[in-house]
Amino acid sequence: MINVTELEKRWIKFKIKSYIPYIVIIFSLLVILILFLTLSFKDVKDTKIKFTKNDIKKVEKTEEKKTKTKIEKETKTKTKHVKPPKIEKKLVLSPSLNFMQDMQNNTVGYYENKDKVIEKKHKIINKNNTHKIKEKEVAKPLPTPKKIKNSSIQIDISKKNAQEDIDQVIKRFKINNNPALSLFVAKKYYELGKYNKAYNYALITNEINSNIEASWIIFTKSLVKLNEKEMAIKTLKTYYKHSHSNTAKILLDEIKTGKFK
Amino acid sequence: MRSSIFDNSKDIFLDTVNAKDFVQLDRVSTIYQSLKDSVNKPLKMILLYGKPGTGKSMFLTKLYHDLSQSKKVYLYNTPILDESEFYKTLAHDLLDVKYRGELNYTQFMKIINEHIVDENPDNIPIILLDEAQLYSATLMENIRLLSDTRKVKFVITLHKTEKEDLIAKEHFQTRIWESIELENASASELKMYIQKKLMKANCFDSASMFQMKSINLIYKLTSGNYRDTNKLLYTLFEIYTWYNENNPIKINRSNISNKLIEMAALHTGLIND
Repeated sequence: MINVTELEKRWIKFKIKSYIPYIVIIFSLLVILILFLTLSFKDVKDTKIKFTKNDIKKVEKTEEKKTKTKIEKETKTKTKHVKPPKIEKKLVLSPSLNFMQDMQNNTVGYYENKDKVIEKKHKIINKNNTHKIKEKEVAKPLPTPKKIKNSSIQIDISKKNAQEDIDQVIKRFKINNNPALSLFVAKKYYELGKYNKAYNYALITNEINSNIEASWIIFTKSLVKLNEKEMAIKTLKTYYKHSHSNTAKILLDEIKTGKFK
Repeated sequence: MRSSIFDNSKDIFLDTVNAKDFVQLDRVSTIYQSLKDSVNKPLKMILLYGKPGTGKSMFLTKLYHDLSQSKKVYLYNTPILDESEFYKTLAHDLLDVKYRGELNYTQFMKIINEHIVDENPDNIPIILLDEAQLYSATLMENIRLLSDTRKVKFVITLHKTEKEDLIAKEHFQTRIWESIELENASASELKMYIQKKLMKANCFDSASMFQMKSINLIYKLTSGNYRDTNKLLYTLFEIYTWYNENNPIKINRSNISNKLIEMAALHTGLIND
């Protein structure tokens, strides 16, 4: 005869045992869910804190260092350029690195050649001068070198002043990272005919604030001056599509027709 | 005291091999018919194999029951493991020859050749051997040689294990034998089996209590094995009988309780707590 009472107890045990895996699974799923939620919440908090800290640091120190290193690199290599911004949703200028490398090589060559040419010129001039002096010592009176010297000194002084101004603005820019200052620097470099530097500072300005039209203009103009007309047209077209700016349109037409060289 | 419906139902599932208890299911009937047809063919040996509890013994008993009136059929449910004893038993049953002392294969063959002269295949004696996996390899080989003489026909049942599968395969490759495999029932076959068995014994009330939900649970527990099902249902109705006598409020008479099925499974060892 079966002991049903005992069997009932066994059945209860069996039922509890059979539910254990389900309970474990549900419990572990809950734990995983809770962990996931808490971790994701923490992540959001951390990123917020990091973001604010970074902002403060940007304003105070770190950005200064960054710009310092950027400028140092720039001055060292002359043509080493800032990391190009990406054109995704936000329209930002993006230089071609290959083009920059080419430019580096070209500019180095140019300066080397120029130096050589200058040296040669000097030599020739010296030679000519000596001849001339020898000749003129006898025949004609010497031309007024004082005047020439004076004029060259005057030019030097004005250049130095302009460079000092730019340096001061760069210092200020390093401190507050104000795009207006970098734009000013870009403009000044453009005026001085330092198109590489003008290009770089226009790019820096654009990186900080891509909505400043002047940065696009200086950038494009610098490109044209650096004999990269096609790239300038392409960049300006992209900006015009995005902004429908009249200034951009006029400049684009001028570049296309060859009015602006 | 009048026995309850549960008590009557319980007895139906007693694990006994009785030809009258054979339940006609579609697939089972087809297999059985093919077995009967094979017996009438000039085959030397018929192999019936399957897992324990798939109804091999029941098939053999049913076959014996059906053929015994028209043919010379001899059923050996329990294996005769001693070789001499095996030959002596066959000599006595088949030929009515009583042999004293040891009887070996050669001597037995002599007796067979002397006594069985009739070449008519209908008169060939049919020997039904259950649990043939228990016979020694030598005796099995002699049984095979004996069937080769076409003086006797054998229907043997084997448990399907890896080893026995090999035996079956070897025999298949070398002899023209008929082999029939028996399998466990499907869930729907199991329902038919349980209900037919109960209705055969006029237990209509308990037969109607088996819904597909409880059948599925029984199938899950027994995998459709007839022997396990019989054991489980016997215990189940024993539990029902107890509740009916001691705590009748606790049982539902319209449906079989899954709780009680699980309790029966625990008792029979189909599940462990």
